[in-house]
Amino acid sequence: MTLADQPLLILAAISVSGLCSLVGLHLILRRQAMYADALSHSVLPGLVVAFMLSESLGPVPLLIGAFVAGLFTSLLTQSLKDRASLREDTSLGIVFSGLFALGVLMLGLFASRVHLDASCVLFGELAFLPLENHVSVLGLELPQPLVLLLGTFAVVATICLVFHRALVASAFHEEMARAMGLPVRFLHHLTLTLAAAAIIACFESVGAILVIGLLVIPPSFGLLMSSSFRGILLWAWALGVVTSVAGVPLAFAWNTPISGMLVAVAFVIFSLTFGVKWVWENRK
Amino acid sequence: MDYVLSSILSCALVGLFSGFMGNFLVVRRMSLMGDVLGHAILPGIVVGFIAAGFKQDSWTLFLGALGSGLLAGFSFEAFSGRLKVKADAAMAIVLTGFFGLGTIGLAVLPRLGSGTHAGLDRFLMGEAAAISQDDIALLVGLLSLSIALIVLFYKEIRLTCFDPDFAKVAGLRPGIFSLLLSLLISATVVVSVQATGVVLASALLIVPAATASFLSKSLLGRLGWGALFGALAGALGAGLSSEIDHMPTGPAIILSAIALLVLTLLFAPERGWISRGLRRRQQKLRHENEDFLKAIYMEGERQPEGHLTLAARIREGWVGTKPYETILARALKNGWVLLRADALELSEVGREIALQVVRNHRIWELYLVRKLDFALDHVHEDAEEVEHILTPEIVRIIEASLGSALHDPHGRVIPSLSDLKRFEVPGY
Repeated sequence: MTLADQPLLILAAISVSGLCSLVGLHLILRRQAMYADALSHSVLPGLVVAFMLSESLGPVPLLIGAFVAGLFTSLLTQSLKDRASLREDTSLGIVFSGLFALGVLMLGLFASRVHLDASCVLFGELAFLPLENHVSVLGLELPQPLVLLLGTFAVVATICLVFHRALVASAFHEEMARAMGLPVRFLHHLTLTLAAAAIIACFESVGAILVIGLLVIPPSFGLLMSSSFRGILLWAWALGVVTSVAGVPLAFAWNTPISGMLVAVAFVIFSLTFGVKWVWENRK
Repeated sequence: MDYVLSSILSCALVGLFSGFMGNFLVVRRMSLMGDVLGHAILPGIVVGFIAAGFKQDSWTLFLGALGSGLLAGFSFEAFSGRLKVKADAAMAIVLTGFFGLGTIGLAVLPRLGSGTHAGLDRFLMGEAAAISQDDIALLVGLLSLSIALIVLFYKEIRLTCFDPDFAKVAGLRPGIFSLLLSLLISATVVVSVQATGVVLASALLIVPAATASFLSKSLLGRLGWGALFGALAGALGAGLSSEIDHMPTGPAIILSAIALLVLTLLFAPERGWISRGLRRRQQKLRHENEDFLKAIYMEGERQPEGHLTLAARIREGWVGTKPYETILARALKNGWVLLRADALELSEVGREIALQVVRNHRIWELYLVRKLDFALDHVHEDAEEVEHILTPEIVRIIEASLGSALHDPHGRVIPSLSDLKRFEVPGY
């Protein structure tokens, strides 16, 4: 990677964290943060199957495969919870690790036919972004993953805006939302679907495990700083921008993976803020 | 020792330990904490690797990982429930934050020392062959230590798991035991990560423990079953992965554990799907039988001859329908009803069943109206359900609480205890 790529990479990092903050906030309000963890692992078998069927690394089959796997996760978890009377955390843990195991197994068994590296899926690497195919959008030459990312961002943001009231109402007070006639179950699955979409759009650039950090840490930071939905989101985005602007050059300087650096920077800022705020509120 | 046999044995041992300790996560509703710890040990492994002078030394790696796991546990406790950070967010933050730090460490490592970190990758994907003699010794030591601690503090730990509030009131300091459990669980994750990899180490903790929850309700029973299923899954997975080319060990172990879970889900004697389905079917048959006999009995109340004529059955729209014909065939076979000419008559046994159900129904109606102030037209549906469930003992207690119970709220006679022959009805 060269220094000239830095602005592009910072831009990509900002869009990743912008998308993730929005979706992550909805997840956190529903107390489903660990769903991000589960989804980010369970999409693996979907990716492998899609890759084997389509024999290519084109984004569309991979997206479909990951999406189906994500849907599978939430439905399987729900049915295991309802039909086997296991608690939600246990069923989620079983389902996602089972799917992940299946994915790793397939990778191992069909390694010769699948040029998909599990650790590549898990870790991702933003630095490869400038090397990807470029497509021209509105007269600008942009790497394909970045276009995918921005497209997903636009769609997800539109859905979040349209369903804003319903999503927030059902997240804060499920019973009341149900009494108001809102489709609570649909909204729950909609949130998880948006999370799946965000994870899939980002896994190529950030990797599956660290995308959780970008989903959860900025909105949690926002929650420390503000109490209104808009305020939380703006603070989350602010952290995303700061993280990107600081993280990308730091990763260049130390020659580390960008995704790990982004999450580490966000984590450190969150922890410090948390500590300061905790001491401040308990001073006497 | 034979190579395959030794890898099977060590994986079985890892599974046994994980399956045993995982119960404490599942019982405390912290199933996903194993996954958090599994990822959070990565920076500790890097530090341990550096501390050992860029070599892989079981004990240093173990101590580094354990320290980082404990630190993650503390961070989780510090974040969770404070300043609007909920438990789920705290878990995700700790998991990914520590993991991010770890990936930076892994990337910086080659430039710090002369050595490479080749082989540290096994912590991510797991490999049974990576388990060394030292690891086995460590494992056995840890297992004995855990069992000793748990035996010693069994009562306190059990209370901490199932009812931490009561434990606190009882002066037990649940915090200390919760910390002890976290320590042991971190140790478990650290050890099993080598065989199964980061992600699947947490699965090996919870899948056997979840399986155990279908077979026993007591903590002791669950610990035993969990250890058994964990060991089975470990052995099975290691065996499969040595038999089949390119079959990675971690996934093979986890998928074996899940296969055992599915089998248990189907065949568990009490909570399994099959036995529950059978029970539900039996209950449905019983309800049908009782409703049928009750209908004949009530026809007898209306008509002095005391049996259900063919005309009455046709009037009710029963004759020719499949459910009616099968219920009738069953009742005839069991000798609960007799077919005289075209009239259905209750046998002595059938009459006994009908009497009990009618008695349950009417006493319940009377109870709802007289004691709970239900409106007269609201009690029938409720009694229709309850009549099949009430036991003679409960009915006797309700009857006693009512004072006199000769007629139900609709004015029909309630069969009294003396009307019942009180013999055991076969099949009930």
